[in-house]
Amino acid sequence: MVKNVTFVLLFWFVAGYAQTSLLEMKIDIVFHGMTLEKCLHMLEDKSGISIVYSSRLKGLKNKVSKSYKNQMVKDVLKDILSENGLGYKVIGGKVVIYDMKSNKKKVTISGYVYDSETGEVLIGCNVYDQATLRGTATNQYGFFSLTFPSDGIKRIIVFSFMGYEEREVTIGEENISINIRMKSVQYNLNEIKIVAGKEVEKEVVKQTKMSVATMKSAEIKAIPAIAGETDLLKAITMLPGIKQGVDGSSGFYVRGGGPDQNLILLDGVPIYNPYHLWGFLSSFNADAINHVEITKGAFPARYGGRISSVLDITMNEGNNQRWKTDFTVGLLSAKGAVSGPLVKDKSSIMITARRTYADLFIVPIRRAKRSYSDYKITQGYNFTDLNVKLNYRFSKRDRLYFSGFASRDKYYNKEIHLQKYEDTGFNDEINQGEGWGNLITAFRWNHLFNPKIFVNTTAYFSSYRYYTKNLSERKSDRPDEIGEKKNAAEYFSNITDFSLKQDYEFFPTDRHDIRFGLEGIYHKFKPGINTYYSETDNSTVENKSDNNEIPATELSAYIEDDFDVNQWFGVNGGIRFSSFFVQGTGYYSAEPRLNIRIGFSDHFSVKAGYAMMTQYLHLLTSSGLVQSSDLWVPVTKNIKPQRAHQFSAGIAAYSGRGYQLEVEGYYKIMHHVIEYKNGADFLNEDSNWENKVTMGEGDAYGFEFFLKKTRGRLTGWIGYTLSWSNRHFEDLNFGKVFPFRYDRRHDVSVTGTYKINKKWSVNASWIFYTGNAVTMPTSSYITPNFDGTLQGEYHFPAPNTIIGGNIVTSGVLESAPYRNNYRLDSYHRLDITGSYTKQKDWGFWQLIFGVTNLYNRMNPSYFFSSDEYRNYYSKQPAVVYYKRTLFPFMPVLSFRIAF
Amino acid sequence: MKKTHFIFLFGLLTLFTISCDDVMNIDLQGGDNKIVINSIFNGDKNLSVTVTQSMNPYDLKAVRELNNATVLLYENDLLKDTLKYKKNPGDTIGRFYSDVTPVTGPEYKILVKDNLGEASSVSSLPDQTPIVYDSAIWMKWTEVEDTINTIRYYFKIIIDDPEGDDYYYLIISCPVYKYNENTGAYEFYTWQNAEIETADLPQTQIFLRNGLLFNDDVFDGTRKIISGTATMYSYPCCYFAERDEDESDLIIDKSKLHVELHTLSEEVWHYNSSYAKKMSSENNIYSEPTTIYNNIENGLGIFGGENLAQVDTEIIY
Repeated sequence: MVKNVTFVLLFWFVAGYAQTSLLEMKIDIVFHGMTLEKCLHMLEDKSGISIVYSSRLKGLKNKVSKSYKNQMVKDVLKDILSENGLGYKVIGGKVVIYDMKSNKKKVTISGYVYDSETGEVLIGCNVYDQATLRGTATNQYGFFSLTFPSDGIKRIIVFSFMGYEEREVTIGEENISINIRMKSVQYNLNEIKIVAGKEVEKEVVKQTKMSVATMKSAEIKAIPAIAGETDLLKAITMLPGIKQGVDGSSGFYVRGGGPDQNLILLDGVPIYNPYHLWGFLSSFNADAINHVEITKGAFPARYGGRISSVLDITMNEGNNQRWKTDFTVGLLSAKGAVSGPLVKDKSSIMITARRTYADLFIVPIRRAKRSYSDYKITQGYNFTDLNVKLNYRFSKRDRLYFSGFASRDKYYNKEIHLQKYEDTGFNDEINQGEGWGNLITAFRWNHLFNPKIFVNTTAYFSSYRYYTKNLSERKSDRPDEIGEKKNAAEYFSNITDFSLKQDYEFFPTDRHDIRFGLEGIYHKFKPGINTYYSETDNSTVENKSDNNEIPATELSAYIEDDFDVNQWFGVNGGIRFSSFFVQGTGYYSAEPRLNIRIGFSDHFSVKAGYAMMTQYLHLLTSSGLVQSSDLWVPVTKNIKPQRAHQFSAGIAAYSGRGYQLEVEGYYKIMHHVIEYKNGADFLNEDSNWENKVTMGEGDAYGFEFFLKKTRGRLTGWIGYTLSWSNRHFEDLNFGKVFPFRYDRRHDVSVTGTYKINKKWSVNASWIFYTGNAVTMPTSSYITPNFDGTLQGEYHFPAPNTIIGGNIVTSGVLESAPYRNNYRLDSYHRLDITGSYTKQKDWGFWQLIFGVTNLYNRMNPSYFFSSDEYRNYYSKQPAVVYYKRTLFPFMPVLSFRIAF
Repeated sequence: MKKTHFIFLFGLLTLFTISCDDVMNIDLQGGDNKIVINSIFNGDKNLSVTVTQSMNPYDLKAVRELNNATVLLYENDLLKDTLKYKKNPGDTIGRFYSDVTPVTGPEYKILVKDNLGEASSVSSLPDQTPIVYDSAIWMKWTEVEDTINTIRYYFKIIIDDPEGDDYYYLIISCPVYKYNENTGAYEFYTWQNAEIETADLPQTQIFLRNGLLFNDDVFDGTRKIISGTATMYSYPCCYFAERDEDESDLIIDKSKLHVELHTLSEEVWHYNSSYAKKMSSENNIYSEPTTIYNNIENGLGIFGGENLAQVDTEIIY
């Protein structure tokens, strides 16, 4: 294995220089009245170079009579070609002959690429000229446009996409608009050799963009998931540079950034809280996902609004060939997907829905356990999510999409307490609840002005709402009790966006991919409203603490060009202008972006990038962990926009045997990040959230290593991150720098899928990372009561023990020297699942089973100190902390049926 | 179901439900051994401070007295007194006593010198906000049926809040008596706090030892009516739970109520708020550990003033 890798690495370096060195080789050669075509063959044989040309080229039949002695091959070539009006270029390791006279004319091939079975668009499908290897990739609507010089060459255009059979289309001198349908070979291992051509895998080397990772729905589903619940947002944390929070919490952390610094787009629409079950699961149903791309740095100009990452999720469009149904039953939830053509080849619809059924079990159990004649309890929790996508093709140039997404979580607790004594008594009723949910709707219109200009217009609405309530009511006919009394406390927050945007994509030549666009967003924030209500027979008290609705407008415009200067050098440069208007204040930003690629061969390139990002929204998190109750708030007069500068550089390599390697280093500086001040809470103390937070700085730097195997029975990757991340706030930690909570020195992830045969496959993943930075006390000391007595002396002279001259009392507290001064134990876990798939005439069924945390590693999800050790009667009391593990050894089981 | 299948499933379920808690091994090299100064002073008695040394909590959660330290008191930067150490019988820790009784107006600075170095702090005594006495009306009391002998009082208190930032701590308590075997009588032992609940301070209230911490953000410079309930549990609860005493020796007089309104300096407000936050978040597994407010330069602890208004009343059953 090591030997093979070494060989391949050597090959990368050698292959790129091969043609160049051959052209500079000196030869002796004589052409005696031969046709030019024969001369070229002779030159090929003599020098070893590979020459490509179209048989239609004029001049190939012309006779050549020349003699060369000790001349370089390139000089010979230039001489015999120029006489016949021809020229040559070295492209993709081959010498390509072209007609210099017709070089200014161009031919364009454009269209869409689909899955032949489902009609779903294929995003990121490689489209390239077989001879020159020059090409492009389909955008998120499956559209491509490729323009070549019309040099008389009959070109073969190859369509290549991982997991699909390659398709070839021959084009001549005329523009072509074509829709390509590609056949999936997912279950045919024997055909693996003809799928996913090397050019697809080389894309990692050839593309200028960097710090990007993509995942398909199948890859997400292949990663073993906790309780068998396939989870996109947990799957992406297997990639280097992306860290998960502690088990059971939501949020992910990219290159030392906070969870609020990630822009999560579903079909181009931002989602503010994509989590169920207080963060245990993401609210994205994997059955609804077509394609996922996450950008961690070196952002192209089309992205903005967050400073750490952009997670761009594209939903399936729905099968436009035939109706398909898919059901999965797991340990936590059941989900289903239905899709099919409304009008074949013109319109399709996709609907997915998921619901947990935990409450179906919990409610009756709780009822049976806790309810008796005068005390009844109803308690439960459930979540649901729904995805709908509809598209209609009006013409070859116009297509309309509707996307809808709704998610909802609800916890409820209702208690009724009846008590009667001597014909009088009371009736207490308590209603408690918590809930949150997203709702998005989007209309998009794709329009082709011509084969080279694609435009997408989007209008969307996005809303996130959180609430919690606590209502109590007492009705009493006791003589000594008030007749009726009500108390209510409610809290809710809400953010709503309305947006209109247009994105243009212009393909003037095969070297340029120019994008430009503009967007306007109207935000409406309700950052936390408390309502208290109390009513008795004698009085009514009502208080409403309204943080006032804050409207804000965000405008942005961008332009970028992905320019392949030549085979070896590419630039993606652009600039984004943004502005934000709130409370009579305007903020403006010009954000330059630049990526460059220097290719040393088809197999190896070096990349570097710089991006400045600005973020006008902040997320108030009260405990360093993302919770549903966290508030999205805008910048204000006092709270400035977050801004980041990120520099990254790295290499990309491809082995030729399905191995891709990416190594990157990055350095990121963040300004105006916010944190709650010490002791502040979102519910209490202060009516104005601005007074509760403080602004500071952050930095992050590190290296990422990513080795991916994309072909064969065994596929998967190894990711490793070495990183540092710090924060600095004047008002926190006494103004000193402290490590970010998710400052993890080492982060390793290994995941693999082995396809045993058509029916069986095994998936495994192992993750390891340095323990989180937490605040741990390093000293114990005593503090006073309000009346000046010491803690523990409050009511009594506190009993105390003297040990070695030291005083042990209940009033001793612990104190940490600075924030996040201690590292928890390292985290690691091995998850394994197996899947059995049975194909049937009507479809297939699949059983997935396995184990999470196979070797039962007790990873700390959180920690706490035990009260028993606070007992000052023990002889030598000391602080003892316990860790709690949320995911020990756990079974995985789910059943899927599709027809 | 075959027996082997049952055993397999049972084993699987057992593994699934095994305890997930474990002790953490924390490897910290010693405490930071800082000077700890503690004093919450008022205008009713002479100023005193405790001076101790912090220790490594994982070896022994304890403190060490620094009774040989030099403790100096300054009033508006002028040396006012050198405090003297004294440990009274029954005290946990001895105190350094001053002859000075703080008054409102001047700024007080405490300076401690010891082998560990020097530590200091500055604070002053806030003006008192009195309770409008006639307003302390006990509207009703009732037994709480689902508990044993628990009494709930309904109260209404009025204060005239002065302009500017003011911070308060309200407690309502009953006297607790302890049987003295020598005298054969119950003698006053301590105060037991009632648990206060009110809807009148929706944004600012923090609970500390059943009392109520609040500030005047929403009623600055106006007359404020605070009404609500104060629930008194019959048996002294948390403060008694860890004691050796036979609880039958203790009785609580629920007919007598003692109301205290502490007007706090900003330092004491921050200290009490952070202390309450720490206490309330101790069992919150997801919360960031709270750092106790500390206003001691080069040390730990709290040095701040407070002023106290009191009302005693008796409930007629």
